Amino acid sequence: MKRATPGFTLVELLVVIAIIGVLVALLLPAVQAAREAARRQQCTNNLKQIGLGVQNHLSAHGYYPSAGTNADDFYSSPADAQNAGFPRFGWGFQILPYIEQGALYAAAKDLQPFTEMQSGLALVEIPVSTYSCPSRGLRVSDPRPDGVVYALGDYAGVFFGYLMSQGENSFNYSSGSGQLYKEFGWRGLISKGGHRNSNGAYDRWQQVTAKDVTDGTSHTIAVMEKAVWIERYTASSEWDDGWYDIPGWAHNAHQPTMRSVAGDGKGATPATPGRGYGPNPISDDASVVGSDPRSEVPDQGFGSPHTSAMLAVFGDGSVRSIRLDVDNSPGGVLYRLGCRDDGEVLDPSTYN
Amino acid sequence: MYRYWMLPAIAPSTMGVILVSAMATAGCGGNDVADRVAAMNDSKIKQVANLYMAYQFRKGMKGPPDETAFKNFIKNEMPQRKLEMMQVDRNDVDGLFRSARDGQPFVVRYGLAGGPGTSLAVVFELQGQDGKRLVAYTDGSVEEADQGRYQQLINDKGAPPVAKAPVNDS
Repeated sequence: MKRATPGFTLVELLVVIAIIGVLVALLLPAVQAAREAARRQQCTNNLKQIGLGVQNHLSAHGYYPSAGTNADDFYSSPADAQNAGFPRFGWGFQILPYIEQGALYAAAKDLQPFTEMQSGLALVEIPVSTYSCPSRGLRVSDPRPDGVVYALGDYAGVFFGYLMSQGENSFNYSSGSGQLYKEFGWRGLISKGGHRNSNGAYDRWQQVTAKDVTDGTSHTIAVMEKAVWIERYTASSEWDDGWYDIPGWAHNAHQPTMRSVAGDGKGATPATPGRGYGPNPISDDASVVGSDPRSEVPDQGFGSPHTSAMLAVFGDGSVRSIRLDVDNSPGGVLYRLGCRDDGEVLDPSTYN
Repeated sequence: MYRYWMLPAIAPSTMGVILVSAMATAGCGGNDVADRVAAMNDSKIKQVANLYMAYQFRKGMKGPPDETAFKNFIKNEMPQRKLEMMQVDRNDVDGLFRSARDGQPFVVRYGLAGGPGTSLAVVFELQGQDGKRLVAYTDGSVEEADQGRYQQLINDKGAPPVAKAPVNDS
């Protein structure tokens, strides 16, 4: 008589699969939670490194890194801007030597941001893992039609609104509206960089030193996590340069590396003079939505992929959690935490 | 005795072939970035407009001042890897500047400043087809324009781009 082929019966196999399924279902949440805790810890470490980089920049230069100068100034008069000491890149580039990326800094410091280095890649194409939260991964942009893929970043410095209606880029800033912008638009630890051309005369944006942080470095946010629409974790199917993550971590002011705690103020009047235009969006990534999610609106504010809190590094290098439901009204808790000289010191219980 | 709910034994060699085939199939996704860049450069007029944008980004957001500077940039300064993705042959730059539809050289508006978020009409067909001529923008889009629209764009009246149908001149 022919012997049956040795093996499991179908019933036995189904029972084993069911048991494995139950065990996985029991373990999966715990495993996911543990993995997220590890990613959050890595994110904390990234911010710690950034905070140390900011501190080392202060030690080496006597002032904090700047946000750079925005592109409008750049292409309106590139030669003049260059001659006046135009910083083509933002804080992310300026602290590279202090986060063990000295070689990248040296290779790119004399180039335009979008000019390829000897490697064949431009600075904006090279990912720096310190600037990426592992919960989102190493995010990149859609490929540009000429093959450039921007390496994006997950952290931003703090500023206080565009004040575009005040003529950010074309004012005589020694008085009037320009002065308003200077005084109220950039009151964070990381301020705007470079010089301004005011009717042919150059004047430098304030280089923020330790003595300018009168609220105390332990009470002033330096860099915080950005909100990123969850659909932007991976590049989309078509090129779209209109969103606020491009060109990435190396960018000079504004949104990719600096975000406002006081509304963007485009064409608006300040809700509270000197305290910005209104609440800026704060959100966990999963909740970043808008009527048109591809518009810039969801990408303006601070936020986090982590649960219920965003991480921030303060001027003293400490990394702390900020609740996602923190008061972000004009002149509110988040505004005060970002402002270096508002004279108000907050109880930590108001934000974490 | 064979019972119908017993699983048939699968030979290890057969299982190996199945696994290797599955892994090979999964690993053959191709170069996604290169494919997508190629798709955005599927005609000469798009290639020239996209290279114009590439020039702007690499030259302080200024557009090429003239044809000589533009062609020299493509031949000498664009990285080979990126030209390959755009499917541009740096040894045939003169051919690149000629429309496959009408055989005529493109008309290029030189010296236009651009940058992130801008969309400028920079490359124009000279004759076109059936009374319509293609116009390419620095955001990689292409529009088929009638005489009135064409004149409006080439004379820089600042008209915003209109909805563009997919077109191909190659």
